[in-house]
Amino acid sequence: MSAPVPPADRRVLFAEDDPVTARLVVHRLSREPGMTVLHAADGETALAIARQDALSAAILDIRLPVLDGLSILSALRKDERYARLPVMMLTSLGSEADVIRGFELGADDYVVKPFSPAELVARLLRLLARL
Amino acid sequence: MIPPETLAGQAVPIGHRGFLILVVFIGLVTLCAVGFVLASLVLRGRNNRIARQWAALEARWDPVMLDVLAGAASPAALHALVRPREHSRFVEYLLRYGRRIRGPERGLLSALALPYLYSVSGDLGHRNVERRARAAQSVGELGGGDYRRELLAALDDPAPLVVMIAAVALSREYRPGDVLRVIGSVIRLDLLTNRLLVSMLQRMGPESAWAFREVLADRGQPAKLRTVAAKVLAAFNDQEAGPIAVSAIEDAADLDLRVALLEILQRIGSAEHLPVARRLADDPVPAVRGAAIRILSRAGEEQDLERLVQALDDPVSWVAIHAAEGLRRSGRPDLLARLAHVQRRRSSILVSEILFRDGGA
Repeated sequence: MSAPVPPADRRVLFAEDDPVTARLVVHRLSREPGMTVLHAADGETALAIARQDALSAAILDIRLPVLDGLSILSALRKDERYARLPVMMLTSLGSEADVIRGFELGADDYVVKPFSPAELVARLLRLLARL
Repeated sequence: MIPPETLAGQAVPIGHRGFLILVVFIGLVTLCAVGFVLASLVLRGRNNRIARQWAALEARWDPVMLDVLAGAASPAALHALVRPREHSRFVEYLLRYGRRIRGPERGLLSALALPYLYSVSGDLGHRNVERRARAAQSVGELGGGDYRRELLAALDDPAPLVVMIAAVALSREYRPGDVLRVIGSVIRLDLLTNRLLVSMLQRMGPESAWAFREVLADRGQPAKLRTVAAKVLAAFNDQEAGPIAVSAIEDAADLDLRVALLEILQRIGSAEHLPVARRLADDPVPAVRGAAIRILSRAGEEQDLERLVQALDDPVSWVAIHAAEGLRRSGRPDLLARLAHVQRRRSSILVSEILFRDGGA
């Protein structure tokens, strides 16, 4: 029986300004075979990374400096390359309006902060498996 | 007595005296400025030193910590890196993660913290409020239930901040023996809105409803406490709270409490509550009248339709909107058609839109 083939290089944009959350998620995602995490601490950097790189998925915090997560999502959806990109939003408890707006703009899933890093990774892998 | 114009027996001219005062004044200002500069330099140096210490601790702990949370290392591996004089710093470090993590990783954080929580739990009796608050937060976030007794004692703390932190920690989990004490702490939390208190307390789940019913039924309890209890029961859609609400509304003088009691009836919407709603539908207080109209609009019968039609002309627009919602739900095309031809005095465009949405008329 042959060993399972690791998935090809998957490049995930993670836009998050909180350094502790960023460390947690980047470390956790980087442990997944074939996964590269591109971290941005603000919205403008996140968009610049998206323009330069070829992303496989994005995790966007809604509250970000310079440009918020919803604006990044909107910009990504206007780019033909990212029309079907799996996008997960990070929201705070009680921000249902942001969640609804995120879905309207084309988000695929959302996770409420504080969250379990294991659950976040599981949800992302499920989204990537749909591709 | 020395005359004002002499000093040490010598005469000082008026112009010179003014100059001396100016020099003394400038000297004092310069001295203060130098003092401030020195103090800010000392503070800055201290902050930089603390930042450097934290950076060194994070550099030592973070790689192993992240592995522990990912299940790739054991808690013992991280414990081995904590030196004896760093225990309280380590708890503070774990707290940073505690605020950001839920789910299975929370158990790992508690396991990491437990051997060191003794170093901060002693601060629950400290005379400084901030120290007590931080200690309550640390044992509440990371104690995993082991410090429940200490947190219950913190509910009697003279500082509302400490009470709030303890109540937030205790309400994360339902414990039948503690629930009444946690609910009772609400009375100390004047700084929090009812909405926040309700959202905090409802985390104990519907199995705690019996305790909220007990508080609501007790007329000796303060109105604020009973109001919050009623709102939690409404959020639970608690059927058993219906008869208590009906009985309590008879003598509830407090406006917030009356509205909260009607909120329960709105949520559970049963025909047996209609007589109360019919009586209060003419209440002079808009909040009470609106809540009553809302009950009629959700659970009302044929005989209530006329009252809803009258409410379309209520001076308060949202009372009219509740009435319009009820009329729309009534599914009576003949009534809606009649209303379509009546020039209502006060009903807004919004009410008309609700009435005739989707071609309702």
